[in-house]
Amino acid sequence: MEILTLKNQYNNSPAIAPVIDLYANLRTGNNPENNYYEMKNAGRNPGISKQKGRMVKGSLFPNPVKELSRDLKTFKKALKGQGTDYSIGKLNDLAIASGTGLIALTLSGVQKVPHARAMEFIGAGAWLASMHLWPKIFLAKPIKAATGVDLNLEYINAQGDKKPYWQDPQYIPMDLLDKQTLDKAADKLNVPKDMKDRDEETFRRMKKVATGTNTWWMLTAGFSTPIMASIIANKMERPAHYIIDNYNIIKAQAQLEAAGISTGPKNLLVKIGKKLIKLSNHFRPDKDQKALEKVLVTGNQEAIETFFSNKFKNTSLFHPVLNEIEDAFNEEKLPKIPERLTKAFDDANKLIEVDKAFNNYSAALSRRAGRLREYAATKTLTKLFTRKEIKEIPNSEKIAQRAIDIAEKEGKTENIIKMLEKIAKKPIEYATQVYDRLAELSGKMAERIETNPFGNSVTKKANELIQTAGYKLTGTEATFGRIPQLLRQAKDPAKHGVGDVINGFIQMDHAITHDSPILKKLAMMARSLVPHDVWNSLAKNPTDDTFYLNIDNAKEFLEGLFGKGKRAIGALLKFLPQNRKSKESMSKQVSDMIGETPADFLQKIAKEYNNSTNKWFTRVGVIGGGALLATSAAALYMIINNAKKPGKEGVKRV
Amino acid sequence: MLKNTGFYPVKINESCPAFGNQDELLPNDRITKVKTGVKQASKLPKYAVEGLKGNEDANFFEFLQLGKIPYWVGGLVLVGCFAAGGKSSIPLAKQKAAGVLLYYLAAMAAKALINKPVKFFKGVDLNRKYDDHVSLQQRDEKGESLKKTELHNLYESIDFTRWDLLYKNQQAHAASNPGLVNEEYEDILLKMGLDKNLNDPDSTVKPYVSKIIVASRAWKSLLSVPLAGLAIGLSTWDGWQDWGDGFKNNRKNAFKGIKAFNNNIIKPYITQPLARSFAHLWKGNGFNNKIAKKFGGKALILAPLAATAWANLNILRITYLKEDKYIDANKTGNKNNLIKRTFNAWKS
Repeated sequence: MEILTLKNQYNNSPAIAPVIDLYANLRTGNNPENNYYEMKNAGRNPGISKQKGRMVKGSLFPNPVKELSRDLKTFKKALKGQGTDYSIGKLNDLAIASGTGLIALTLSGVQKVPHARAMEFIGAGAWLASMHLWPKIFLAKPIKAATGVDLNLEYINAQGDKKPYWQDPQYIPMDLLDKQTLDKAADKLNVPKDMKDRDEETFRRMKKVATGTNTWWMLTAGFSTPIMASIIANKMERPAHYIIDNYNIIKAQAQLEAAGISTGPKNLLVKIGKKLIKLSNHFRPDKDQKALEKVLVTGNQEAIETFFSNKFKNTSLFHPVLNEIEDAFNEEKLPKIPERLTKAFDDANKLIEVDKAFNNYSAALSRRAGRLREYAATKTLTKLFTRKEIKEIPNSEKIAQRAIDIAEKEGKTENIIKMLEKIAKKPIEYATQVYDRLAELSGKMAERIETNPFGNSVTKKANELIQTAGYKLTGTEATFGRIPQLLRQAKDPAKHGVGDVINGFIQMDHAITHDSPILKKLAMMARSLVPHDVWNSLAKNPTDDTFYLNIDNAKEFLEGLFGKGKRAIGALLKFLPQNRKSKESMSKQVSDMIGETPADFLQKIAKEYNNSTNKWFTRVGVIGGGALLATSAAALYMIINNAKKPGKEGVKRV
Repeated sequence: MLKNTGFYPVKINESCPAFGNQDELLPNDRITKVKTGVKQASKLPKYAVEGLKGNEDANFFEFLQLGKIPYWVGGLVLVGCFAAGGKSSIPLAKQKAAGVLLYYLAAMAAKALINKPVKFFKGVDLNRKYDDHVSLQQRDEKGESLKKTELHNLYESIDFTRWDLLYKNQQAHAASNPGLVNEEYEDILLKMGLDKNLNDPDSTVKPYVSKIIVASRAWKSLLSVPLAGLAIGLSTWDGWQDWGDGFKNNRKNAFKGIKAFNNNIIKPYITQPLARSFAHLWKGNGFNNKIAKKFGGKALILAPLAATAWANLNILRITYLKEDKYIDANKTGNKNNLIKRTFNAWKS
């Protein structure tokens, strides 16, 4: 009687019902062993022992926020010693993800340029992604298409744990598979239609497929993860460059805007950046003024100079400010010096932001322009030459020859020209844009800072930057625009012959077609100093007609150029390199000053192409990745075929 | 399979198949551990072949065992990917190889840094192994199911800990002296600081061992994070790029005695690079960020130490056994009270 009352009382509580059942059984003499597990479950997970498992669709990537919050809760419980096999096992995923993140952070810490820093994180992300993508796409998708077995399937069991459905071949809840899936798989796995227990046989074959593929996954994961991660990271290099360049451009633009110089049509990101910079400026404590007062009180010229040079280091205000200090100490008497220097500091301080922002903007734009030049050069080389041919660094003669060859062979001169023009378009357009933008901005800037006594030095620096951008524009046009241009001029290259085209190159290259021997020599000198020849000078050794200036003939030459007894000659002679080696380094310095020369540039691109990426990609991407895909295809084919066989006779199943 | 889950001694009956293939706890010495470990690893090819064939007796344990392959191969292939760029990329590949090796060492350390203190303070050897005899679906000619043996960790599962294996009820000396059944539990109890002459050492110890299993597994996972950071931090020392230079020459002189071996192999290739990379990391010279320069290296070195200390203190704290903690049955929760009430109700 009591039991019945109790049962009625607690029947709605699933936690207690099994306990009452147990004692009821004890009382009536039923074997309590039968209910042992039920009771155990009731104690362990009250309330859900009667819940059924259910199928869920597996996701490609786990939701990081959800996973993280769950894992943190699990860990908090684990600190008290509470947890289950499932929940504690999940902590491993968290450890792998955060460990990979920490590794990326550490490695990025020692990288020197932003791109390399970003690539460490991209590499780590690619690693984690490859771990998921290989089984979930490369193995699971073909298997699903061929057999109807969805390896990405997951189920939630009675305890509420989410598990891969095909994970443990000994414990797969077959009842969760619906009839439709089974029938579909049965057809694909060649299970006879009239078979007795057709579903069981289908399930057996599906399990075979799943076990085989899971095993193949484990055998290949050691290869697939690093190889895929390397390939992904390799392919992400360009986008990463693009994003970082854009970030720098936007940042510099926002700095300019914050300094009060409009950069044209406003991007939303630029607006936000401007607000942020202004906000941070607002909250930055103004320590300078007090420090300045402290230094000025001492009246020590050296200390004042150190203070100013620390403040204006790396700006174009550095020298003018130091000059001003020297002048002040020379011209004024003590009581007036602090006053004058305070004013100088204020004036210069107003310009510091503008100056830095303009420099950054120019640097960011030219970096992007340089990148576009690189891509265009690689494209030109790869479109016209095979990999083997690029090994011998091509020069313009070869490039022209090849372009003409292809045009002759296929009779498609126009196509070749169009292709080369298309490649040339992007870098040239961008270089033009950079030049125009900088020129426009510097005009605006000059207007704003006209009245400032230090305005001149900032404008001067800006003009230098614009000049460099101009050089780069000319260089880019020369590098990429010239070949299609020449091909267009020589309307029938086959008739004119290669020689004409090449001659055209050299003529164009000299740029100066004046008859004056002195000017001709000057052009040659310029070439020897800065190999501005588009593609040629690289491979050529100096020939007799190349005029190299040396200390012996220089004076004579310069006197011929400027006239005897001019002051400039002495100054120029100082810069003349003494020997061949220093001439080269001088040439390099000048190259750096006006930007990379096309010849250097081509050499660099071809070398890079030959040395690293290409070989690397052949080995890792083509050979490694290819072998992986080929063996996987073979293995999956065998697994599927093996599963289609009927079960062995003589083996009884329990 | 029928297993003896009680704590009373059972007579061994050779003719009874149920007890003929008992899972057995393995001796706790190092030689056995190495031997059985090698034996288990040598089964991997078999697991792979049977798995690929889709053998109906393939199981999750074998799948997990196969997981060791990508773990070890992955590092090797990663280094290979770096080395594939040609001769010029060899120094970088060497550095990466050092990083991968250090990572493996760190992963091993993460386990040892928990296992050793737990064994020392609590007497629970988390690395204890047992042979699991699994009955297969395949049958022999007589119709009896075939068996295969798997090497498992005694404390690998939280939900299904093999407490039964710790009872000595299947051993001859316990059969003659029932008092020895709880020998293993008493040993743990002693280590935990209680008198072994308790009525039920096993049920006293079990909840605490469970806590150890949970916390140690969680901490092992978590510890691998700062240790991996340390390993990779050490590998950022550029000296690793010359690692192994001159090995051919040194090898010639290395085997002329212990001192020669030490000077030619151990010192130049193991201790010296390690010491230098530690010093490099501590000073933070490799970093490019101001804050990282100042704190990054020190944090990477100190974090694993702090985490290890925290982990072990935590485990010690939650398994601290005091007499008043387990004697009071009323404190163990409502569930038991309910059973008591139910029982009383039934009795009346």
